[in-house]
Amino acid sequence: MSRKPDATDLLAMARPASLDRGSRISADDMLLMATTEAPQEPSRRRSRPRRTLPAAPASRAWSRLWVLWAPLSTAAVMALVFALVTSLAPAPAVLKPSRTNQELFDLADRIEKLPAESGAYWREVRIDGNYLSSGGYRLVVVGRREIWQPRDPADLVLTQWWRQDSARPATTEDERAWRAAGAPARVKGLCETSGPCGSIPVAAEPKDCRYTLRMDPTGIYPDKTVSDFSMADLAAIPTDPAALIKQLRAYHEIWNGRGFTQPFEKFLPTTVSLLGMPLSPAQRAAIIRVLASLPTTKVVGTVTDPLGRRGISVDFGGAGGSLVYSSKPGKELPVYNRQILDPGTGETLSRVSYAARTARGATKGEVMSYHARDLGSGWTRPPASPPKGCKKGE
Amino acid sequence: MPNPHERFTALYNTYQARVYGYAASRAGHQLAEEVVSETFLVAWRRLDSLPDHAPLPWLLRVARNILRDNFRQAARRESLEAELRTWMEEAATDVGEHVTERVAVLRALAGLSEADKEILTLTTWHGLSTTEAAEVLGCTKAAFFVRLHRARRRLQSAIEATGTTPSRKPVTVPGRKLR
Repeated sequence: MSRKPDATDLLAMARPASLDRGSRISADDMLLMATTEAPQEPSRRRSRPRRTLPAAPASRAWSRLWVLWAPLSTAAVMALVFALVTSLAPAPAVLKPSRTNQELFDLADRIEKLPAESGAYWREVRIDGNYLSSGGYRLVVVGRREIWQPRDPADLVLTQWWRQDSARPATTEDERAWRAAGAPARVKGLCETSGPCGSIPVAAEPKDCRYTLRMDPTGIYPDKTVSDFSMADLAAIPTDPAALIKQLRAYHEIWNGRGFTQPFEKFLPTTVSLLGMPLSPAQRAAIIRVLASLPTTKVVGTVTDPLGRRGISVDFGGAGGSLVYSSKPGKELPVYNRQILDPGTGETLSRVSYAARTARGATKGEVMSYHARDLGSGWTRPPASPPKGCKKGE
Repeated sequence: MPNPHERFTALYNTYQARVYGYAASRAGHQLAEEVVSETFLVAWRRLDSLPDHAPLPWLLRVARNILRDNFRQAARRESLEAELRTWMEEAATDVGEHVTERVAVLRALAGLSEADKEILTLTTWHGLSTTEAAEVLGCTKAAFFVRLHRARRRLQSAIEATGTTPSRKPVTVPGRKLR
């Protein structure tokens, strides 16, 4: 005698395995999103419009972008502090820790007395990553570039770049999906104005290394964001708070001379790029204290950067940006940026852009791109000439 | 006592996949990511009031409210219907056992109301006990049993309408064996 099959058992048998996929947002990124949430009581939250597919309406999607503009809402407080910053005479008072970014002040205290390293060359290894979705999984397209900057301008500057970017599945889950899709050897990049374009090989590392060795009598450091620095200029950056502010003002004058019009307080956050340059720990500590004192600076928390290193994620203000997918209106994805600092040295580990809303195949909070400094960066001996495995290029 | 960041990270790592699975079963993968992030943002804001023991029903209830409040019913239905079609196609091309039956039951499920789909999948797909499932739905255990019984009957009728009569085998779902 056969028993009638139970509907519940049948349903359990039909459970799709994909329900176990889980979110693509890591715990670190989720914590980052949570800690940058507007601190409003749930009962006071405005009701939000209901959404239709496929994309969220802009009004709702932009709601969390308050993070980028929150400093404006506290304009009165900022104005007061900026007034202090902009008046040179009492500059040291500005550096009095407000302790709102205690993690940064602690970091400065930790690294200040570290021994200064030295070497004939400063090696800067930069890894750039751009994320894209293809066939139901995510890939990160990785590029690599190295610069060996000599301390002595009489020595040659070595520049290496890899002509062929590589794409690799972003996570283990993505790798599974990529394999399930037949493990395609090449993927198509984004052929619009953001990110890589064309066919990209799926490979562990970028390929086809090229190099140049050239004399640069000016000895100017390649990152000119803040100013045109020679190695000697960088070594001379003061650690005394008042002297440092005075020096930063001098850089601001140079900045203005380039055609920018931002006031000093708007210029100061750009000095974060100094944290990736050849400075002593004491110099980095002094700059970190200045940045920590700015009202626009906010420590987000401890995160893992795209290269898998633990770091302190910091929002240094700024309005984020957009990844532009097409010249057509609305084909953009707003992003916000975070700087991730090495908790042991204060150096920049990476600068990461996150999707500010769910749109264009990206989920809010997902990493969309990064510029990372590889661990090989720092003071070192002169490079091998020619560098191994690298062809001469122009 | 872990600090709030550690507690939240542990909570997220333990339960995000379960919340994701619930959201995907209610509104498809397309909306699930956002439901997960919104749910855990609420969890962060209410970390102090979150139950230490067995927080899953609480999280699923939040996810349920988010689905209801933030997404139009038509959007949820449209997304889930697309997902069910995918699941049916996947089941049909599977090399495992009971392929016909799995396709049939998914087809039957697709024809049920949203409420029936939810009540059935809470226990069979998400491994919740009847007490936990009742908590998610915000009803008493007795009321849950009544609704479950009716939903099962409707599912059974829908399966029989397909003419599929598979053999009976024990089945497991995440976290527990079905009783």
